[in-house]
Parts: sequence; structure tokens; C-alpha cells
Amino acid sequence: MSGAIEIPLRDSDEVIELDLTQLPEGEEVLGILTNEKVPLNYWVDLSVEYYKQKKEDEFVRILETARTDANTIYRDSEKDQMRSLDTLAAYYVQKANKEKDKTVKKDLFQKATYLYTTADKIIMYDQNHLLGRAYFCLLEGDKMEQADAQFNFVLNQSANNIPSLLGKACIAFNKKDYRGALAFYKKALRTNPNCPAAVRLGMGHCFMKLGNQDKARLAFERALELDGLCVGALVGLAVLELNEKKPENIRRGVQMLSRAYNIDSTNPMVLNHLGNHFFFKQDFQKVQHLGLHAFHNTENESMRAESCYQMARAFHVQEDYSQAFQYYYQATQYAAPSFVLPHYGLGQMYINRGDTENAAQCFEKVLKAQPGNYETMKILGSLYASSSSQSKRDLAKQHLKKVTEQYSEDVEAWIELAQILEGSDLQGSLSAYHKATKLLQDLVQMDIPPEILNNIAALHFRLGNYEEAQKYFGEAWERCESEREQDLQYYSSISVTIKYNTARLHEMFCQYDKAEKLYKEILQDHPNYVDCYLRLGCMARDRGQIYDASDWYKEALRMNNEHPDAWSLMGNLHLAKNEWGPGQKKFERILKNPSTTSDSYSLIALGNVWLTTLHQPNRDKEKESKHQDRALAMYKSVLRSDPRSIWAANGIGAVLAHKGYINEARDIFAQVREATADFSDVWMNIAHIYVEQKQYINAIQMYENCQKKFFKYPNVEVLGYLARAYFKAAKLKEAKYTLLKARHVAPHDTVILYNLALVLQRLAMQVLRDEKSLLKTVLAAVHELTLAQKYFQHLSVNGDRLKYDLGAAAAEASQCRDLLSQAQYHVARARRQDDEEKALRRKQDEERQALKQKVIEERLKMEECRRKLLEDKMKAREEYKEKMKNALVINEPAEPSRKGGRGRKRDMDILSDGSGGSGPDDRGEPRAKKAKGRKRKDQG
Amino acid sequence: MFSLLNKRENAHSEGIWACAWGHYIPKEKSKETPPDDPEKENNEENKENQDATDKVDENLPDMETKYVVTGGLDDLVRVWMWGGEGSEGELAALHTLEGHSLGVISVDVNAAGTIGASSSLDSTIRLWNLHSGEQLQTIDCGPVEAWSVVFSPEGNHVASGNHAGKINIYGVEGGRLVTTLDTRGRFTYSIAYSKDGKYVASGAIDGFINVFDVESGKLVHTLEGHAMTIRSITFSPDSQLLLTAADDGHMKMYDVKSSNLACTLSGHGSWVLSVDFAPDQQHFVSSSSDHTVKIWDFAQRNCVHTFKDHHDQVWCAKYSQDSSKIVSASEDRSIIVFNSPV
Repeated sequence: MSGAIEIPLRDSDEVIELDLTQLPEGEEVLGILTNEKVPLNYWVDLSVEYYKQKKEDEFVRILETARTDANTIYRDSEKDQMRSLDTLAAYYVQKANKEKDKTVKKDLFQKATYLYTTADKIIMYDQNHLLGRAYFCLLEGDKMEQADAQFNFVLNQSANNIPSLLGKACIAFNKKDYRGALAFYKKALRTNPNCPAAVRLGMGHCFMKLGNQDKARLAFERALELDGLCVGALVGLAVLELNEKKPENIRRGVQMLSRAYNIDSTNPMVLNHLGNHFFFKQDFQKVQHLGLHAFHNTENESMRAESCYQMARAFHVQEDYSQAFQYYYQATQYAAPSFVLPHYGLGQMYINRGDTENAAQCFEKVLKAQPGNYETMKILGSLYASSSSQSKRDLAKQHLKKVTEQYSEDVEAWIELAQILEGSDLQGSLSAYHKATKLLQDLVQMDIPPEILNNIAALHFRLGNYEEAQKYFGEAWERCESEREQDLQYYSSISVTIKYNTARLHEMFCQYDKAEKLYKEILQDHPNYVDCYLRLGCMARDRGQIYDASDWYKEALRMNNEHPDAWSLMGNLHLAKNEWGPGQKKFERILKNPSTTSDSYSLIALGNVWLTTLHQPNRDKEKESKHQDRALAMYKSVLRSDPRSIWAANGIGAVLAHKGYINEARDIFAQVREATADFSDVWMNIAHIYVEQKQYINAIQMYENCQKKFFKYPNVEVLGYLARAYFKAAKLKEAKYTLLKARHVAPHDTVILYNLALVLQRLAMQVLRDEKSLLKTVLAAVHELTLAQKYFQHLSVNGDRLKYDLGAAAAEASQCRDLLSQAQYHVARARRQDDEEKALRRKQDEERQALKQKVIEERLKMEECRRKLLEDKMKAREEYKEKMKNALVINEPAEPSRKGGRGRKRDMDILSDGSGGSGPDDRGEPRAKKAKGRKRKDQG
Repeated sequence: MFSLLNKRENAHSEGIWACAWGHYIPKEKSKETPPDDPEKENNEENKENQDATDKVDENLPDMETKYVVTGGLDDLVRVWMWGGEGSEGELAALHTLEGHSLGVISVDVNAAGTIGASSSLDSTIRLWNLHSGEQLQTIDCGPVEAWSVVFSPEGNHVASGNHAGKINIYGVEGGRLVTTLDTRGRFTYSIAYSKDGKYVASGAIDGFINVFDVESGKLVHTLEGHAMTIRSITFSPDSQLLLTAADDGHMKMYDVKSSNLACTLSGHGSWVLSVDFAPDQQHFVSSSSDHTVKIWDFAQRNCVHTFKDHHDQVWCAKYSQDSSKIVSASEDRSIIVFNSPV
């Protein structure tokens, strides 16, 4: 453009030449323009010159005046009118864009709108006009589509219209279509290689977004070459440098930012980035200053969010939490959903304020934007861990589990996880603690803090590994002792806990003396340690020293008058002594306390009180059903708040059984036992039900298992029920033994004695009735019957009136007497039978003896015969020998003699066999018989 | 070394409720033989075996004999002989004594080691000749008049508590009631004579302890020792201390003269069913429903060993006269002899 503008003067060919370098004052120019009726196009040109020289006031005045005073009576003046209007409108739009004051901004927008509407009426489809409008739409932000349509319209007319291309690029960029935006920029660049720096800048941003840092850098650098003052390019380059994170790069980046700051000290982007830099330089004063500056220099909410965040964290680091809170809060109000850092900071501030609810919400937002973020999950886990809601705690568990899965070396997370598992999964908790301690030892190489050792020990304790627990408590105690000097108060408070736990452990080892000593030691230093009083009370209670127990509980209540456990224990003492009224009052007191209105323990205890009244003999049916309903109501209200309460369910089962709904009761008991096997009452109840259903064998088994599982000592109550089941099952001998076992430990229990007498009586009757009973058995039965009679007699005088009818005992006694008188008959019968048997045996013996005698005699006779025969033979032989003596003196007869001898021997063998008389074999025979006889006697 | 020497499984057909040692030493020999030299003792015995056949002294054995007497729910009293020396040996069944009914609650042997006493739930006390197994005496005490039975140290009396808190003392000769001491308390469950014969102590079902002067028959102390049944009570060999065992799982030791509590011992996980001092007063033994037998050091007053060889409650555990062995009887129907180093 030339260095001057020529303004034609009215009605002449003369011109006034205005040197552009020395433009006159606005008034002067206006005067000339108005007076000389200068055509509009000159006005516009002139105003643009003023604008270029940054004389905006003149520019506005010229154009404003032009609308009314300019000469438009020439050809094509409409075009210039359009130019005039659009230019001014564009100016207003631009100004509005920079304006921070909302009302002024609105005002400017209105002016622009008015001008554009005026222009619309002149030439609607003028390209420049459309473009202006389109940009206006863009700036208004929410009219993206409208702007797009107008750009499209223009592009349809001239495909390479650069402003349209740039507008489209801008729209595409805003729609996150970076590739599309890049394409438009490239097209614009191709159309006009000398495009302003802004195009390069836009491309740079596109490349950044597309992750192509090298190209982005080139684009920014090119933009900077074209326009040394291009702040955007400087910032872009600076960010690229800063992202390199090397000291050198950072220095370069910061240099660029300072350059940008020198060019435009109000550019919020520059300010924010500088703020960020100074934050890391820990120059918080500057951060604050820059942040504030940036905040006031932008309308852009993301920018403002960024500035607020910078300031907030500066305050955060300086521990000015209230200011930090304010700025974090503001930042979250402005921040785009993806900018979660302020939420993180705000969450931290909430935690600092103890507002976990809001804190959790903040972190939830962070986690939503960045699922799986490790720190956030950890914090949320930690926050939820202390929540009272089970679902929140489950969430905490999930988070912490994930954290430990992702970072298996995060000690804190393991500890947090262990802590939250303490409530639900002892074994899991224990292994988490072990993992944590291993990490502490191996990685951090520090001693395990006594708190953790204590917790591990406590878990072992709860799992029943008392030896392990002892070991860890010991270690914890030692650690505490050695750390004590570091922080006396803290470590002594921990050591008190350890001491208490150790005392509890001593109780488990039944070393009550040691436990007692420790509890008393604790109380000496910490007289308000209520649990110690309670444990001392419980130990006294277990020793049967009810009054001592009561004193300890009272001591606990003196420290804390609303302690529900202390009241419960007091109540239980009363109930154990059958003092229903006072017991009831204690539990009602707990329920009256607003903080424990729905205490399940108390409700169940009260339900049990009503249930127990049902066990007392009572003839008032109405009262009975009232008590049943009261018990039921108590149990039900427990189930409402805790549907899994096994005690309430057991109670309901018991009431149902009382009402006669045996099957229903059985089902409930079965479910309770499925839920837990560590609850003796339900075993007993199931056994009772079996008895009711006449399944005695099952009942017996159940009672026996119950005794075995729950009681080391013979439990008289269980044995009593067991004996009853045996009795009903007609197993009298077992019933007797069971009752004897009970009587052995509780000889003063007259109910047991009564039942024993009854069983003895029945057993005796059974024996006596049996005609085949042996004398010994009958005599024993009579002895036991006598005992039964004595017992009944004794009980009819000394018995317990409340438990059975003494008259009944007397009646049984006389029954026994009757039986005894009849018994004489049975004894006589048995004796007769015995005598007969004895006689028979004697007879048999005699017969056997006789037989034996006979055999011996026969044998003797036989022997005699044989001897005689032998003698005869010998004699004959002698005679023969005599005869032959003189005839032959050779050896010959010797042989037959030897032969004969052998033959004789054989003969004798046969003889002896046949006779069954003498010889060693024979003597064995009758002895065997005798033995057989004795055996038979035994069997009989 | 504390160790198990001999376990006799199924010694009775039901749970065994009571056991006692008896030690008989022939009169002439007892002077020559120091009791703590087992080897020499043994030689003497052998010699005795050969040349002492002519001595028959009214049904007494002719040699030193160590008896174990047991009784239980099966109504039987069994007499066993401990054979062997030092830390080896075995129980051999000697007699099975019939006559009781409703279960044998307690057994005791007199100091001379000649007579055994037993009591049963049918309220009879029976006295037996340990050598021959013959029944010497039956004392029928009425329906609820007898519980655990003990010999007086000199052996001429037996004492038993009853349901009304009274202690009946019967003469061994003739079995007649000699005297009655009244605790004015509740059921007398456990009873003991002091070794010097001066005192009788009883433990009641409600945890009260009563101590009587035997000679005057006067009640010397009443102690609110436990709040639960006292299952067992015994004096120290020097007669200075009284030791109790109760359902509260505790044992308590009292000074007899002053009746002051000397110490409380805990460690059993359930009822303590019996306590007995070693005659040398170095140790005492306790047994419990928690299936264990515990040895305690007298001077330290702490548990030095726990035997876990029974698998049901151990009703009774007693020290042998030479303090080297313990016999225990359990609901699991077994008898065990343990070694306890002197």
C-alpha cells in the first residue's frame, strides 16, 4: 500500500493527500470527511489505516460517523457499506473477545450483532460479510454449527477461501478432529504459502494433539520465524521443551516463556506456564502473582481452572489450607471434566478438614476420569476403610486389593489392606500384614513398628494361634520399650494396649493370676481403661465370685456410665441368678440410650428373658402366649437390623418349638447350625427337637456331641437331657450310667437323684420281670431297688419343691416298697432256679464222677485180665521152656521170642487203645470234659 | 525327666474316678532297707523271697509291695501291683473287688499299705485286705451319707463327708460311727487329714473350706476359698499348708495355722479335679477336666510340666510314697504311671 491516501474534495478534482505516517487527529479527519462529502470507500480505507496504527478510537469514530454522514451516492456504494458495517462489527467482536467484563462484553456483542443484521439487509451473501458473521458465531462459542454452515457456504462459492478454511480448521480442532483441522490448515497453506504465522501455529497445535512432537516443533518454529512475536508459538515450543524434563530443556523452555511474557504480559497461557515453572522453583509468591494475573486476563474457563489450580497448590504447599481450599474449589468449578488435578487437591483439603464424605466424592471424580489411578485408589481405599457402611468398606477392600496387585511393594497399601481385612478375613489380613512386614524389613530395612506387631499378634490371637500371638506380643512389647524415648506418650499408649492384649492371652493360657496382675497394673496408671475392669469382672464371674464381678462392673460404669458392655454383663449376672427383673432393667437401660437403641445383644437378652419364663411351669395359657409373642417381637426386631443374627434365629426357633411348630423350629435350627457350629444352644435345641420327634438315637448323638464339643467338664444339664433321651429310648442301662456321671459331679442335684432313682426302679422291674434273670442279677436289682426306695424316701422329705412334686417322690418310694415285697418272690424264684441249676450241676458232676469211676474200674479190671493173661502165657511159656530145655540147646528159639516180644507189644498197644482205660492220653480226657462243664456254667 | 512309664488302657470298662498308691514294707525289713535305694531294696527282696516262706502274718505279703488301687463307674475296685524298679516297671492286675454299686467315687489306702478303703455312690464304704483281696468291712451310711473316703494317718479311722455338710468318722475295726464333725455348710465333696493327724479339712460343693481340730472336734477355720465346688483338698506333708482344687480352674494354698491365703495357682483350662503333694514336698500334682496332669514346683509355685497323655478328663492323680511316681486315672478308662524325678 502506498504511503498516502488521497481524499477527493467535493465538486472538484482536487484531493487532499494524507500521509499515512502522519495521520491527523480524529476530529480533523472527520471534519474533512464530513464537509467534503467524501464517498464511503475512503472512510473505510482511512479507518482501516487508523486501525492499523492502533488508533482504535479514530477508527471507531470514523466508521460510526460513516454510517450516517458518508456519501453513499455512487455506484457500488453498497459494497462499501457492507465493508464499513462488517469492519466495525468485526472490530466489536474482536474487542468483545478480549473484554473480561461481562456486561461490556455483552454490550459489544450486541453492537456487533446490530451491525451484522443491518449489513444482512444490504447484501446477505457477501463473502466477507458471511465470514465475519461466521467468526462471530465461532467466538460466541455455542454457535459452532451456524459458523460451520456459513464457512461451507463461502467455500462452495470459492473453494480456496482462506478465512473459511481457517475457520473450518478451527471448528474441526474444537471438535477434536485434529486430522481434519490439519487438512484445512494445509489446504490454506497450499492456497497461500505466505499465510500468517497463525496458520503454522494452528498446525503446530494439531501436531501436538496428534502426538507428532517433531512436526509440532517445526510448525511452531516456522510460525515464530514468520512472526517473532507469536506468543502461541513460543508457548508451544516452551511446552515442548519443558516436557523433555531435562534441566537444559527446561531452561530453554522457561526462556521462551519469559520472551512470550515480554511480548504479551497478559497472555494467560504464558502466565500459567510460568506459574507452573515457579511452582517447581518453589517461588510460591510468583506463582500466586502469575496465577492471579492469568485468572484476570482470561474468560476461558479451562485457563481459569488452570490458574486457580496453580495458586491453590502454591497455598497447599505453604500449608495455607483455607486459601488452598478456596482456590482448589474454584478450580474445580471451572475445570473441564478431564482436568482432575484440582479435584485431587480439593479432596486432600477435605481430608484435612476431616470431611471424608466430600473428600471421597472428589477422589471418585478423579478415579472416574483416570480409572485404575494408583494413588487415588489408595486414598479412596483408605477413606472408605473407616466408613461405617459395609458397602463402602467393601469398596475400600476392592481398591486396596487392586493397588496391592498393581504395586505389590507398596507397604502402606498392604497395611491399609490388612487393616480393612481385620474385620472380615483374619487369614487374609494376617498375610497382608506379613507381606507388609517383609517389605519393611527387606526393602525399607526398618524395624517393624510395634503397632503392626501388636496387630499381627491380635490376629493370631483371634485365630487361636496363641503361641504365635505370644511371640508377636513379646516382640511388640520389646519394640515399644526401645522406641519409648522417641515419643514417650505415644509409645506408652501403645504399650498399654499390648499389655492389655498380653493379659487377654494369659487368660487364654488359663494363667489367670498373671492376667489379673497385668490388668491391675494397667489400671494403676490408667484408671479409666474400662476394658480392664470388665475383664477382671469376667474373670471373677468365671470363678463364680458373682459379687466381686458385680463390683468390677460397677467400677467400669463409674468410669463410663453408658458403657453397654458393662450393663450387659451386669444384666447377665442377674439373669444367671434368675433375677429376671433387675436383669431386664439393665438391658432396657441400654436400649433407652439413644446411641444404642437397637443394640442386638440387649434385644436378644430380653427375648431370652421372655423365653425363659416359658420354661417355668405355668398354668396360665394366656400369659404364656403373651410371653411367647414378646420374645418373638424382640428377636424379630434384631433380625430387622441384622438379618443374619444366628442368636435371634435360634430364639425364634425356640419360641416356635414352644408353640408346637416342631418342623418349622427344626428347619430354623438346622439353618443356624449351618451358619455356625460354634454355638452350643442350637445343638441342644436340635437334640430337643429330635426327642420331640422320637428320633432318640439322633438326639442321643447330638447331646453327646454337644457335651464333647463344648464342655470339657461333665455338663450336668446336658447329661440330664442325655439321660432323658436314653430313658425314652428304653436304654435304661445307659440312662443309669449317664445319670451316675452327672451325680458324680453334682451330688447335691436332687433332680438328678430323682431321675436316678426312677431309672434304678425301672431297671430293677425289668430284671425282676425277666424269669430268666440269674440270682446275682436279681440280688443286684433288689439292692438297687432298695436304693431307689431310700432315695425317693429321702427326696420326699429333703427334695426341691420347685422342681418336682415331693408327693410324687413319696409315691414312688411306696411303689418301690411294693416292688421290694414282691421282689422276695423273684429272689426266691431266682434262688430256686439257682439251686436247681446248682443241683443239676452237682448231679452232672456226680454223674461224671461216677462215669469216671466206672471207667477207672473197668480199666483196672481190664488190666487185671491182661495181667492174668500175661501171667498165664508166661507160665505156659515157662512150662514149655522147661519141656524143651533138655531137647535143644541152640539159639533158635531166641528169634521167635524176639518176634513174639514185638508182637506182644503191638497187642498191648491195640489193647490199650481199645480199652480207653489208663495211659497218659486217657487222663487228659475227663479233665477236658470238666473244663467244658465249667464253661457252660459261666455262660449260663 | 518327667515321662510316661506305663499306660494301662481299658483298666476298667467305664470311666475311672479314683486312684491311690499303697506301699507295704514288712516290719523287720523296713529298718534295714533305706527306701530310696531301689537296687539294694531289690536284692533284699530276692533274698527275702528265698528264706521268708515260713512267715505268714495274718494275710500280709512277705515282701515290700507297691499297690495301686483304682475305682470307677463300673462298680469295681481293682488292685494292681507296681512291679519294677527305678524308672521302669509295669502295673500287674492283682484283684478285682466286687460289691459296690452305682460307681466307685473314691479309694484310699492306709499308711501301712495293708488296707484299702473305697466309697461308692450307693453310700457304702468298703474296706479290703489288699494282699488277699478279701472284704474286711462294709459300712452302709444311709442314702446320701457318704462321699469321698480317707484314712486317718494312723490308720484306725476312715472319714467321709455327707450331703448335709457333716463329716462322719468311722472306726476301721468294726466299722462303727465314732464321731461326727459338723461344718454347718453344704455338701462336703472333698476331705483330707493332715499328715500329723491334728486336722481334718473339708471342701464343700459351694467352695467353702472347713478345718477341724481332730482331738477337740472343734471347727478351727471356715474359709470362703472358692465360689465353686472344691473337688479335692490336701495337706502338705509337713501339715503346714492346705491345697485346694476347684471348678473355677484354680488351686489355692492356705497356711493352716493362720488360715491366710499363701497363693493362688492357675493354668488348667477347666475344672481342677484333684491335687496331691509329693511326700518329699518338692512337687505337687494336679489333674483336670482339660485332660491334663500338671506337676508344680512347690518352692517356685509354678507349673513345671504338663502331661497330655489322657484324652478325657483326669479324675485323679496321686504321688507315690517315694515321690518318684504319679498314678493318674481318667474318664478315658486308662491308668497311667508317670515318672517324676526326685
